[in-house]
Amino acid sequence: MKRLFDYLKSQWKKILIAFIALILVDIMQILYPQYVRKAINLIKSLSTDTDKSYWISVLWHYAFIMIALYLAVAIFRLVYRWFLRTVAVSYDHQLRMAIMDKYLSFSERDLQKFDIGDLMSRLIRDTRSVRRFIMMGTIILVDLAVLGGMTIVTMVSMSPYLTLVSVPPMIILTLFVLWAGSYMQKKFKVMLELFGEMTERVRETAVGIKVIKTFVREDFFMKLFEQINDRYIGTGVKLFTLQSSFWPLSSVVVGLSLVIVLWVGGDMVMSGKMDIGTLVSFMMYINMIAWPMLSVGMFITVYSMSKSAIQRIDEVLTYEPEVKDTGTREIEGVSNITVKDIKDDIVLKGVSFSVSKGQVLGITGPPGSGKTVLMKYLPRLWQPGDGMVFVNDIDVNDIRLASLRRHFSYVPQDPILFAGTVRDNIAFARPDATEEEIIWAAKMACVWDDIQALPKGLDTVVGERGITLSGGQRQRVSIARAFLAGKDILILDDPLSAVDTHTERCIIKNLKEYVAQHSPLTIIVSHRIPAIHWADYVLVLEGGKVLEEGTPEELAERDGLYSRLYRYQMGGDVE
Amino acid sequence: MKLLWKYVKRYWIWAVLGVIGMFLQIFFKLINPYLIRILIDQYILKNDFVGATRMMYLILGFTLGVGIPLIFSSWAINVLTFKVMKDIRMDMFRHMMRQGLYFFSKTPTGVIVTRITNDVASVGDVLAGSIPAIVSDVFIITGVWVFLFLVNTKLALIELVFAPIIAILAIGFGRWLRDLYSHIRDVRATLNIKSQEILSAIPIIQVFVQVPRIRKDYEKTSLEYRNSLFKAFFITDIFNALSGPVLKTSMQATAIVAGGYLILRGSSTIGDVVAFLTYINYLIEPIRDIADKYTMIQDATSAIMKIQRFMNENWYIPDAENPHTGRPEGYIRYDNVHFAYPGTKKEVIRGVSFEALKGKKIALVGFTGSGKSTLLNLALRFYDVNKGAIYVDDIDIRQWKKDDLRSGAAVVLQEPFLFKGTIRDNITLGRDIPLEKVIDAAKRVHAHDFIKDLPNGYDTMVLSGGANLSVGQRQLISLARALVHHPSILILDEATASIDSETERLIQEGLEEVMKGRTTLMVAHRLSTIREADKILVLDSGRVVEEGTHEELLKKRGLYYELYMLQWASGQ
Repeated sequence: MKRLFDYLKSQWKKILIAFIALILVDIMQILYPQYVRKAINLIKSLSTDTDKSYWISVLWHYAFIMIALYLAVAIFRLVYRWFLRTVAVSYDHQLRMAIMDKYLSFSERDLQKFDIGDLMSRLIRDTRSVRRFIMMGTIILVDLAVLGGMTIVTMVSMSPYLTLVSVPPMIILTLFVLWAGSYMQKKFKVMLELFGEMTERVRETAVGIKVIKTFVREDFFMKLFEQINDRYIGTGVKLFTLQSSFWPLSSVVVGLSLVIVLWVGGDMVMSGKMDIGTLVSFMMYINMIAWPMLSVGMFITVYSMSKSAIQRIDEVLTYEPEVKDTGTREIEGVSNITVKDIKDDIVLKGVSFSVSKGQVLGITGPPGSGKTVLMKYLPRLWQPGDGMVFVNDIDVNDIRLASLRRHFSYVPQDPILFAGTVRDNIAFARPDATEEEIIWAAKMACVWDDIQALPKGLDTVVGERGITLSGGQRQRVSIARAFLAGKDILILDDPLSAVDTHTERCIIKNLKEYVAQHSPLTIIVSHRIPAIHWADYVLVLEGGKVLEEGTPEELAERDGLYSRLYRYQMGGDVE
Repeated sequence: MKLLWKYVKRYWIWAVLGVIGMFLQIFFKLINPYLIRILIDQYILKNDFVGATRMMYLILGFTLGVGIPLIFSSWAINVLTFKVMKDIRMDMFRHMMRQGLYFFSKTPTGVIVTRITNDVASVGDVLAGSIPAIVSDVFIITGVWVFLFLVNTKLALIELVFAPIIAILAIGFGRWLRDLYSHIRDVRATLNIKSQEILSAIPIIQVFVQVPRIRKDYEKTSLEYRNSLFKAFFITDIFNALSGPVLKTSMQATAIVAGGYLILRGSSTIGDVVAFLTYINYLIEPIRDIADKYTMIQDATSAIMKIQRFMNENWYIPDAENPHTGRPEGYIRYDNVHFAYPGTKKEVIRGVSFEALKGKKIALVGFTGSGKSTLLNLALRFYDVNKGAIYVDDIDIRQWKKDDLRSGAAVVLQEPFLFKGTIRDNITLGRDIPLEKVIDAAKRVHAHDFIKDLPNGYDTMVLSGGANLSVGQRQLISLARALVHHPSILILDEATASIDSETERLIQEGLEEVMKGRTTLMVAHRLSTIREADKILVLDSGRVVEEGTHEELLKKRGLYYELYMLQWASGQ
C-alpha cells in the first residue's frame, strides 16, 4: 500500500485537477434539479390568460441553462476521468515493468518457488486490480463525500421533514448492500473453490487417462465429475440469482423512497405546504443520492480485491533474488576459469579445476553426479558461494553480472528456445548477425539441412505458436546459437543427448574446427566419450566429487569408469 | 450458436419463464411513471386526498411488487444456465474420455482443462448475462416508446426526433468500441504470451546478456497495451458523455419547453411532463455499457467455437465389428510391429517382434527416446500399429473388444495416478469390491501397514495427485490397485525416483507379488527388477538390437553393457 501512496503523492498535481473537476461535476449535478423545479413551477402557473411570449422566453431560458449545465458536466467529467486515467493506466504500466524487471533477475531456483501462472497473473491481472482501484476508488470516495453530502444538505434545506422520512430506506439499502456484498463474497469464495475442484477433476482425469482406460473405469470418473457439477449448480444458482437481482433489487428500495416522497410530499403539495416543482426535484435528488450509497458496497469489493493484489505484487517486488548484481569489477577478455573446492547444499561436495583460454575441459559422470549444477555456477545462473569460482583470478561474485556473462556462450542441457523464428533463435545473442553468419552457424551445428526442410526455412516460427521442433533439432539450434554468439567461454552441457550417431560425429568434427579457429575456453559436459575424448583434460564426477581426472589418454589407460566407457564407446571408432 | 441452441432447447420452459418474468418486471417498472402522472394531474393538483391515497397504494404495490418477477426471472435464467453448462461439460468430459491417447499427447492438459471449465463458463456468462440483458433492453426501449405515446402522442412525436440519434450513437459507437476493446484483448493476449515466453526462457536471456533487449520488447507491448486502454477508455467516456448528460438533458429540456407550449395550448398537462422526464431516464439506460455487451457476445462466440472444435476432435479408436470378447489369458506376441505417431512420418517403432509367454516377464531397456514406452502403449491398443500386428492369445488386438482386452490388464506407472477420493476408491477405482478383498490385496503389497495407521483407515481422503502421501506410499497403493483387479497382463513402467531403502524393499517385494504368475511387459530401471526378467529386450531407435538375459547380454559387451556401465556400474 505504501508504494501506491507514494506514487499517488508524486502525481498530486494531476490528482488535484481531477478532484477539482470532479467536485465541479457534483455541484452542477446538484444545481440541475433546481432548474427543473423552477421550470415545472413555471409550467404549472401557465394558463390561457398569461402573457404567452414572456413565459415562453423564460421557459427557453431555463431549458438553455439545463442544457448548458449538463454540457459542462459532460466536459468536466471528461476532464477528471482523463487525469485520473492517466495516473491509473500509467501506474499499471510502471508496476508491470517493475515486476518484469524483478522476474528478469530471478534464477531458475527463484522461479521454481512460484507457479508460472501465478507469476503471470501478477503481471497482468493484479496490476489491473490496482488500476481499477485508483480509478474507481477515488471516484466513489469523492462522490460519496461531495455528491452524497451536498445532496443531503440541499434536501434538508428544501424540506427537513421530507428528508427525514425519505432517507431511512436508503440507509437500510446501504446496510443491505454491505450485508449482501460480504455474503456474496463468501459465496463467491465457495464457488471459486468448487470451480477449482472441478478444474482439478478434469485435470487429474486427463493425467490419469491411461490408468482409467486400462482399468476401464470411465464410468466411475464420469460419476465423480457429475457429482462436482451438481454441487456447483447448487451453490451457483443461489449465488447468481442473488447477484443478478442485486442491483435491480436495490432500485426497488430507491423506488420505496420515491414513493414515500410522493406520498408525504403529495400531501404537502395538496395542503399547500410545498409546490409541485419542489416535489419533482426532490425525487430527482433521491435518485441522485442512491448512487453514492450503493457504491459503498462496490468500494469495499474493489478495495478488498486490490488489497490482495497489492500484497501479491509486493511479495515479488520485495523478494530477494538469489543472484544479486552487487559486483563492480569489470573483465576484458578471459584468460582462465578456476573453481576451488566448490560445495553446495544440493549435490556438489568439493570440486576443483582450472581451465585456460584455448583449452578444452571435458566432464563426464553418471546422471545426478553434479555436472549440470556445476556449469550453472560459472556464469552465476545460480549463486556460488564466495571464493569458489574465479574468472581471471577474480571471484565471480565481485564482477558486475553483465560484464561476466558477456563472455559466455552456453548450450544448456535443456535446450530452451525462445518463441519466434528459427532465425531469431540462432541470432538470439547477436540480433545484428548477417544471413551468411546465421547460415554458417546452422551448418556448424549440423542443423542446416533440417532448417531447409522446414516450411519457411529460417523464418519458420517455432514454439507454442508455431512448429514444434524435435528434441534433437532444438538442441542443435541451441548449439548454433552458441556458435554464433562466439564468446570467449564456450560451455556445452550434454549437447549430444538427443542426436543420432551420424549427427554426433558431424557436430564433434565442427566443434573441433571451431575451437581450433577461435580458441575459446571450452567446457563440454557429456556422457558420450567421443564428445570429450579430444579434450585437454577430463574430470569424471560421481556424487558431487571428482572420481577420476587427467588427460583422456591417461584416463583411458587407468582402470576406472572412464576406461571402461572408453573401451566400449570408442571401440569401433577410427580416429 | 447452433451448439448453444441444442442445449437451451432442452430447457425451453425455463427460458420462457425467464422471459415472462422479465416482461412483467419491466412492465411494473414502466407503469409507475404513468400512474404518477395520473396521481399528479387527477388527484394532487385537484386536492383529492382520497383518490391520491388510493393511487399511492397502487404505486407502492407496483414498486415493491417488481421484486417478485425480478427474482423469479433471474432464478429461472440461472437454473437454465447452470443446467446447460452442466450438460455441455458432461458431454465434453465424456467426449474427452472416449479419445485415444494421441489426443492427450497432442493437446496440453491445460488446454483440455480450459475448454471444459473456463470456456463453458464464458458461455454461461452470455446465457445468464448478455442475452437476458439484450432482451431486457429491447423490452425497455419498446416499452418506453409505447408509454410515451400513451402519455402524450404529440409530445412523443416531438421526442421521436431523437430516436435516430440514439440509434446512430448505439450502433456507430457500439461498433467502434467493440473494435477498440477487441484490440485491447488482442494486445492483452500478446502480453500474456510474451510474459509466459520470457518466464520460460529466463536463464537463456540472462546468460546471453539479452535482458535489456527482451525488456525493451516487452515494454513496447506493455506500452501498446497502455495506449490502447487509454484510447478505448477515452472514446467510452465521450460516448457516455454524449449518451448520458448531453442526450438525456436535451431530451428532458425538449420535454419541458415543448411540454410548456402544449400546456399553453391545452393539449398537455404537468403530469405528462413529469412522466416524460422519468421515461427519458429509462430510455438512456440500455445504451450504457453497450461496448460491454458487444464484447461479451464476442467472447462467447469465440468460446463456443473453441468448444465446437473440441467436440469435433476425433481420435477415438473404434472396436471391430463383432469383436472378440472374453478374458485374455496373457500370451502376447508382437509381429514385425511398425509405428509412427499420427501425423508424422518418422517411425518410432521399426519392426519389433517378440513374444511373451503366459506368465513371463519381459523387460525393455534402452536410452531415452528409444521407444520403450511407446512399445508398452501399443500392447493395450492405446494406439493402432501402422504395420505388423500385436496378438493377445493369438488374436489380433484389433479384433478384441477394447474394454475386455484392457479389463484383463493392469498398469503400474512411474508416476502413480492418485485422485481425490478415499484410499479405498483409489485402490478399487470405484469398483464394487468387498473391503476384505481390498485389505487382503493391500496386505500382500505391504500397503496395509501404513493405511491402517491413517486417521480414517481405508476411508481416509487422498488429495489430488496423492499430495498427502509419500512417493513410496503412492507406489504401494498403485500396486494394491493392480493386485485387486486380478489382471492376467501387467504393464509396468517402473519409477526412477529414489526412495529410502526400507520403502524400496517394500515396493520391490510388492512388485514381485503383483508380477507373480502374470505376463509382464515392463520398462525397468532398477537392476534388481531387470535381473528378475525372463527376457531383456534392448531397444535402440525403435528396434530391438539385443535380446537375452542379464548375464548373456553383459557378455555381449554391446549396448546393454554400455547402459549398465552408465547407470549402475559407476563407482564399482
